[in-house]
Amino acid sequence: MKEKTSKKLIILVDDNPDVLYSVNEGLKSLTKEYEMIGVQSGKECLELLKKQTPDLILLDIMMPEMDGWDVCAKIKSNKKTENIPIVFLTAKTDPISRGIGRMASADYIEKPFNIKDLKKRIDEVINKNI
Amino acid sequence: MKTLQDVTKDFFESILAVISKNSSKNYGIVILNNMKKSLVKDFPILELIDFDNGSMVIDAKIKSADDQDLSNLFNKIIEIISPDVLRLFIKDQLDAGDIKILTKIGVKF
Repeated sequence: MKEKTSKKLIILVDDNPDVLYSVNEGLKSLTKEYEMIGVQSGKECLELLKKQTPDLILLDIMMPEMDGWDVCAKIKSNKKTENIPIVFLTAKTDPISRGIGRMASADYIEKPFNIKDLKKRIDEVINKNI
Repeated sequence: MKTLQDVTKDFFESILAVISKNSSKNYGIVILNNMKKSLVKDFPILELIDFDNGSMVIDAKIKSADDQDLSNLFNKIIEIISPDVLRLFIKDQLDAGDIKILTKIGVKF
């Protein structure tokens, strides 16, 4: 169930705590529109989705145990979560991964990224899905 | 001689193989299902193809499908897939019999 707040909820999934911290702090410094929950694994993300319906998921690809491809597949194969926009946020910068990533996601953002550009692209995806 | 049912299966299996190799099989199935969902209105022939549960089922009715309908569908899917190198990988997965039939009905890789 969505929280009773006017803020848009974003779940960031990344096994690197530095990324979770920097994206959270960076977005907070730019806008009050978003509330971010960071989790360090796909498993945690899937658990969280049983309780929360975010407006967007930022998803790393290269993670131990379950990678971002499989997390995305699980989310898109579940009727309850299939319409949640997913944005890949990844260090995979080869054109094949980019092409494949874009086929099932709302956007594909490569690391390193500029926080202002990230916010702009989050804005675009969220506004498109209102 | 392969039937259109065989070639259709090979075509989608080659897409799944290439996407799976570069991501995961589950993600590949999601992509195929997304394609089906977004294209089925314009290409109702997709109703004869089922990608659920990891297995690919092609209805035998596809054997009597219009060549042009199939070729239009395959060309649309090839157009969606990028970058170009992915199309080449997919073509490489197909055997000579598939390519011969696909080319004959008007598919352009």
